[in-house]
Amino acid sequence: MAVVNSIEDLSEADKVLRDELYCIADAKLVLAGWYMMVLQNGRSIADFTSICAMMQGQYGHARALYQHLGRFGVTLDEVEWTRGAKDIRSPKLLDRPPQSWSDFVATIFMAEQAISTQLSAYRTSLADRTLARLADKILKESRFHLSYSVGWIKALRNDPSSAVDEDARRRLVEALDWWGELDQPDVVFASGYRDASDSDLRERFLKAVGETFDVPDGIAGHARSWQRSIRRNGAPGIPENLFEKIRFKNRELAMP
Amino acid sequence: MAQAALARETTEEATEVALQTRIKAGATLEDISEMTPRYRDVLVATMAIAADLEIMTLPLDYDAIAFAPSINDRIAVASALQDEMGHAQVMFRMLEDFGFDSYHQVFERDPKNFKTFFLLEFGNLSPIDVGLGHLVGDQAGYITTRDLEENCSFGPYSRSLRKVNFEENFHVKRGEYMIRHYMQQGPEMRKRVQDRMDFWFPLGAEWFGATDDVKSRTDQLHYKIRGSSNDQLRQIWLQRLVPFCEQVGLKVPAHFDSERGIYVLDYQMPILLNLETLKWDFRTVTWPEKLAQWKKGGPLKLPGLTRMQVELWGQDLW
Amino acid sequence: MMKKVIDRQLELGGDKPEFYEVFARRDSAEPLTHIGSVEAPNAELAEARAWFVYDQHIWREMCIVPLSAIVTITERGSKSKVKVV
Ligand SMILES: [Fe+2]
Ligand SMILES: [Fe+2]
Repeated sequence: MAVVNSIEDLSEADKVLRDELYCIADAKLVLAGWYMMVLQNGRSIADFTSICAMMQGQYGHARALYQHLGRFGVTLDEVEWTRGAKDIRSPKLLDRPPQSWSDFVATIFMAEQAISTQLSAYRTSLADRTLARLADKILKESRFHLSYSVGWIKALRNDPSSAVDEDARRRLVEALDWWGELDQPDVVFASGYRDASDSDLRERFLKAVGETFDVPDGIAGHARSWQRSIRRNGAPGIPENLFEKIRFKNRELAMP
Repeated sequence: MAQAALARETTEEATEVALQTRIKAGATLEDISEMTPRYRDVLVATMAIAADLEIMTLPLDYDAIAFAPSINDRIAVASALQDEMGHAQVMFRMLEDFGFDSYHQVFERDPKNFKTFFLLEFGNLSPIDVGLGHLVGDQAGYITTRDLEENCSFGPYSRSLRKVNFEENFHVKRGEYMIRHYMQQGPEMRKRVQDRMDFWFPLGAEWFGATDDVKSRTDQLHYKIRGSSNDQLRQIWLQRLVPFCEQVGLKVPAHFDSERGIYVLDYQMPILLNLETLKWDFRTVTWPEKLAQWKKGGPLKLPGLTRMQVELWGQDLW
Repeated sequence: MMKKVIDRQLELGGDKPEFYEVFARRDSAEPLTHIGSVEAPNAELAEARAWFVYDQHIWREMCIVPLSAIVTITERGSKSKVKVV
């Protein structure tokens, strides 16, 4: 695939694919920021190690996806420096800071599960073999992130008064905002980049969540003004104060 | 009475000497049951300090992750910190077998009672400090733990340091890579690095503790918990660091003394850091004065360790 | 600021921490070796922690065993049932 320098040169399908991969990469970027922000709240030395590792994992995956987006004209300069809070396309789920350790655990479980579910549909892509291999690699590496959150959920549930199930219910509603408006045409699926449609993936996600949490019947996000290009309802962008915490600093000291 | 006590003391002394002799002949201990109380105390003190030094890197590296300039740089610092937390985990795990409760040690102990070193008690100001921290600090740490791995007569501890040293070496290499790069970025950047090196160098030199003429922990050597003295380890550090600095054009207060065939400091230890200006005063002071400054600690120690023991959520995060 | 309050029974697996011993090998020629130990209240968390703490090599094979499942032979009565490496 040739590298293009302008979005206008892209086909309709490629434009939509570019948007979706940007959403997935930004989801990982902000999730990595979550791990960074919560690191010192760890509850054992092994948590400090694990959170550092998951942070690196997410940043590494985000970087690989941004690099892949290079073929659509996306540059690291844009990704790391010229964008502001309004340009970040991470899921709404990650806007609201965790309120407690159990809320943190519930949120990373939803986020890891959602991102992995969406990526799982790229593993067989014939239209873009490089992307398929990348998706496969990311999924394999994410397995331990999921055991980490599932292990913590189990541990927290040993306490009957734990809020983890309640936290998860709230976070599930926020997570479903990622698959907000499924009546819109799904060009990425239609053009063969993904092997499953967004509505199938939403079901796959709910099924995966259901293995750990009770999923209430008829749970739905509110599709008021969902935009596929950002996979969110409402205005684009993440909270300014979140962006300020996770953005990169000291540009002149970046290593080559 | 007095005679019985004397007899007991003599037997104890004899057991200690017998153990020292066995160790000198190359014996390695594998189990706590083989230890004398004094051996055990010296070993545990050594391991406990090493564990505290590792855990102190959490507050130290946290800011470095947060102000990192790029995805790559953030990954690099997080990776180093992941290693350090792994080291802490390995060391506190080993202490568990000696009756320590690592949860209590990390999360409940008064931060004042952590035995960290002065070098780890100052916040990083920019990625330049990250590079210098690796180059000066991890280098010093690496030299210490290498010595323990090679010489420690307690086999499990020596072996557990294989992973530690394997990873620590990467941190030093990363520091060299960073500083070499910054020193190629023109005069302004070179000056920024030099300014911070002026701060870091004496911290690194005093990492190894008091000079051999006053050092107290000779039991560490008698029981072969470690193999080299403070001054010997400091010499290795100088041998590695000074030529590197000369090569990249950083001035440090040390030079090679060709008559004695060793590296020497241009000043005489101990010296004090002015905690207001963060500038070193190179006039030699007494060791009690230095020990008092170490005991008081740097500005990051208490707030940094306190942060590790509390949790912040909601609006306190963003 | 709230001091972390850690419920040992729930988070550490009991009054005493629960340990899992970690075994791994780098390639098929290398023997499966004890490489370390992690603490966790359940196997899922132990799996993740073992993977993240002992990541100095890309392991060909890795597994964990609860320390409580180990029966000592030479080390009967010792405070450490399994010694590193
Ligand atoms: Fe370390
Ligand atoms: Fe290090």
